[in-house]
Amino acid sequence: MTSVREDFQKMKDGLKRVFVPIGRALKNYRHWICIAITFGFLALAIFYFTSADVRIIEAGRDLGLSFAFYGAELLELEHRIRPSVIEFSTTPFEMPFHLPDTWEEFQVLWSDYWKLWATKANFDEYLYFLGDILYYVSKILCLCLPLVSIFILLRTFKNRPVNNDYNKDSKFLQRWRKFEKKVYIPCREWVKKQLTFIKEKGYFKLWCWIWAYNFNVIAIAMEFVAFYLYFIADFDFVSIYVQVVKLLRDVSVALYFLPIVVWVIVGLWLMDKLRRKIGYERLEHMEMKNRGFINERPIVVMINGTMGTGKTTMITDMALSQEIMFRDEAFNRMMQADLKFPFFPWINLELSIKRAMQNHSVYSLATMRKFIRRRRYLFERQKKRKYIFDYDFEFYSLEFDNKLYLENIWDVIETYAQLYLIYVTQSSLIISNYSIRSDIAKVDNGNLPLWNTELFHIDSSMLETYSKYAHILDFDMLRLGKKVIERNKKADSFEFGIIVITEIGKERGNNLENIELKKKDEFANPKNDLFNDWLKMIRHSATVDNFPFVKVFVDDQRPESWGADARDLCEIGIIEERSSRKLAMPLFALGDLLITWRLGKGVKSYSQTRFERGDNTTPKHVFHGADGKLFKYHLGIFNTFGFDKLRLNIEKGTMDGDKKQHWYYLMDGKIKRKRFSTDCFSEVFEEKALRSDMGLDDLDCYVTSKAKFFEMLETNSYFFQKLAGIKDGFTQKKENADKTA
Amino acid sequence: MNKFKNILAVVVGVVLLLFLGYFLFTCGQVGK
Repeated sequence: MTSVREDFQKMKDGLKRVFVPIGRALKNYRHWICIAITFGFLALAIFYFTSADVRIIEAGRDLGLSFAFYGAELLELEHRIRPSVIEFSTTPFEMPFHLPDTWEEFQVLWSDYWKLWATKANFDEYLYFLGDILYYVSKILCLCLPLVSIFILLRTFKNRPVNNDYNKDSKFLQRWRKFEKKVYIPCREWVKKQLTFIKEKGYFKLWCWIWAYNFNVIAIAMEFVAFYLYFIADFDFVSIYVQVVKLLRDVSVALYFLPIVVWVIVGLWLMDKLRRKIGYERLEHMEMKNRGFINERPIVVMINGTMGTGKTTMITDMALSQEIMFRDEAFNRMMQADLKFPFFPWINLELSIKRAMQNHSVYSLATMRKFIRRRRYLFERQKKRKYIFDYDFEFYSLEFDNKLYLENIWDVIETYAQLYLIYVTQSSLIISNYSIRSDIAKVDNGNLPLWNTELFHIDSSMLETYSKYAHILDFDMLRLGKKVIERNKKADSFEFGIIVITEIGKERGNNLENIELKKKDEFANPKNDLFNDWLKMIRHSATVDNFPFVKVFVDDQRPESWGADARDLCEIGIIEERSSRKLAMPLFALGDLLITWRLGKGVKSYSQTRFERGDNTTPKHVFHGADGKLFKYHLGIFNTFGFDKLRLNIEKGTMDGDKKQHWYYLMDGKIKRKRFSTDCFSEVFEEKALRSDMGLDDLDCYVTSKAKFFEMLETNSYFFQKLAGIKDGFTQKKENADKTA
Repeated sequence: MNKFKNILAVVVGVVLLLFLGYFLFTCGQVGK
């Protein structure tokens, strides 16, 4: 038994627990603003949108009756239920777009519509209507014209002083900067914080519900379900018209309430969302086409083309796609292996592999096979559950019949384990002679990890977080014969992956270039390193579950630069044409036109101002700042949705078959995201340039438009040296002739 | 070339809008 005082105290504590946090929260003035807005919205709901509650009650009734009707029809019960969903609302309303009440009247009006549509009088009326719109537009323009004229006149006749007041702000600009710092930026920050506050504290959701009620969104959703239930039970097509009218009636509340400006903004926002969605879908589609193209190619692919056509870009792009495809392939094959023994505790196997990988006893396919075979040996010697990863082998099968032969569980485990190694390998699967950045991210909760292979929806500020760089290609790994470094530790390390070699011809040479080299040479050379033999047997080390997890992408300007013995193994893709930059996002033509027009004007005016003045003025500050924002938006669109199309001719490495035409897509959002450096070997040339103490300005120039003889000699050209020899010969002959004379 | 394509796209867009506008305008006329 508790006393009254204790009960009272408990009640007091309970109230404190509820109200003290509320009171504390209300000390934040931002809450008061939100509460005031909420009351405003509620007042509108009660006093303005007076039929919203009736519509919800009606929708509830319609839903209940439709559900009963649906149930009765489904169970074939006798009933007299008349679903009210096919009737109009009792709330007073004006038919939107002057629509008639019934379907019959609509049919009559429909034929009237087309008769009227085809009359000249109606078309003339439309032209008058357009004329009226143009009248209002011209009125607005007339109002703006004086302002624009004044601005142009001021710019034209204003004295444009030339000065060298470097980086000094004009007086007005100083005041403007103060305004920006003290008023504009604090206001903007306050609004941003308030918006975040609204979202965080749940006011946004509350307001969404209030407006969903006001604009009949809740009633529309309920009516939709009600009509759906009625329609699938009765197939009453005629009543669809009533639904359309009811929907328009409900939508018209929002349509008439919000001013046209809001609808324009909403429309533009929706259009932007839609076009971006289409843009991303198109990019994904292009990526899928590229993957199809890569899948059709053999293990070794060589890409050729003249300088600047995008050979290296293309092999990099192919390598990035191939890496994702290898992970996907490994995953799919793992799932197939899993399905062969669906009750096998694969997680135990994975955890045991993880431990082995952590202590570096498993690091390659060969060590993985060894690891599994050791477990198999233990199990076959002593059949215990702990040796087969706690698999209940006494209850479940140890063999799988694939209708060709019986597969032993240990063979499947070995395959699964190798695929798992390829799938979970943390670092990049690319091994290249130049750096390639990939950014697919492994998401791991400690169970089966998944790869986020998103290529286009990437936050650019997070770029470095997920970056992985390609492994450095040690060519000794690819040499079966002599190696540049004897007993190279890395020489035997390659098993699977994507080998990418740019400028292969310069590395390997062709028969003509290697003519001086001998097989018996003491040091490694393309004739004694057996690189070609390695290339011919490349798939042997990388095959898991009958699938070769290896691909070699190489490029050079000419296919003949690479010796025929190796080149014959591959397929050659010659880039014939690179299209101009296109945009995957539709409906950007007007935006592109306006922005490029404005930026063209802006740059012209800005460069003129920079030429004349060294100081900073307010127009320069404001217009150049705005142009910067426009440039950022425009560049962002093109960098996200821009793409180039490469036209390729594919032929056999023997170069004696037919050529097939293919298209390959280079999407900016994928390949231009700091994937590789187009001047990947520039470091060499930088060293070379640093050795020189002369620049372009220090080089001698021709004196006239006709080169002097000493200027010709300065070229150190073989040709001019020959000419100089001829000239010297003539001079000698002439001197000899003179002497004889 | 891109500029030409953009202008063409804008012109086609405006013509389509005017065409659509005629349909909507006739809707209003038939109900009067």
